[in-house]
Amino acid sequence: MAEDDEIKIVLARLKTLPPSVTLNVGGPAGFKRLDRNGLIAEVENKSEIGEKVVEMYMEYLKSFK
Amino acid sequence: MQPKLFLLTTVETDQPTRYLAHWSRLLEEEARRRGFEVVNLHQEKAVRKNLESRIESRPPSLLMFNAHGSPEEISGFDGKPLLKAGENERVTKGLVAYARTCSAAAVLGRKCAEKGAKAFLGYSWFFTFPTDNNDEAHPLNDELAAPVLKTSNVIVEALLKGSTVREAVSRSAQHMEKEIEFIKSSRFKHFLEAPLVIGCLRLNQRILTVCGNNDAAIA
Repeated sequence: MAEDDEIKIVLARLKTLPPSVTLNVGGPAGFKRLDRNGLIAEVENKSEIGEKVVEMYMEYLKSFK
Repeated sequence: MQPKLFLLTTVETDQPTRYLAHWSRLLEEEARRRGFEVVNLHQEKAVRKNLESRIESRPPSLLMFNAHGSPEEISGFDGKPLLKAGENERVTKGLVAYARTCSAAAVLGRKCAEKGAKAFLGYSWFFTFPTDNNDEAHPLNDELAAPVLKTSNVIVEALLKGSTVREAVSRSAQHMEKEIEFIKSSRFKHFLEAPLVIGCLRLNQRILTVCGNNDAAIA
């Protein structure tokens, strides 16, 4: 489970994404297509996809340490 | 002597599968350059009956799926299973298969290996990639999708060159690191999207799963 501070950092970064960006996440019912607002909602809801998005951003940020 | 056969399935039922289909065309070209005969079961041809009859009449050296998937099945154009655990995984017997689909390695891939597939490469969770809506008319020009789809293409390119499954996975991982290095450099102009692109690269590589023999190569 992502820490609240991490979620805040990631939400702040997601808000800077251009509106044209879509994350395509596959699944049995087809690809889920998430724009900036969709990604924010997934993270805020702490869904499985939201958790992965937090992981992606935190791994990226930590790679510069 | 008959040339080796590269059999693949592609559908364009939504924008993401359209991307997979476009990126697969590069693999078709590469296979032809290498002397392979290529058969693409595209759109309405990508159904179970066609897949089974094609494989039974002439087993391919390499089988690739570009579609929606779940742990137990890969879908065809009609939304019905093209390949399903407990039903027709036997058609992969003796073959090397790569599923650029979601989750199929979790159960279906293992079943294929149990039924005699030399190797089944696939993903144990959701295959994920970013796109830029501004480039959706030209999937090959989409700079957000390219690093991820090129990295997955490297797997097939390596197999077509005769690499073992293990080597193909390793080459894909090496390519991924080069992509990440480029994305982190000032030459990549999508700074804000970089975490998503790199995140998808690392996620897909982490969930890439080999069922069967890592030392298998296409015959």
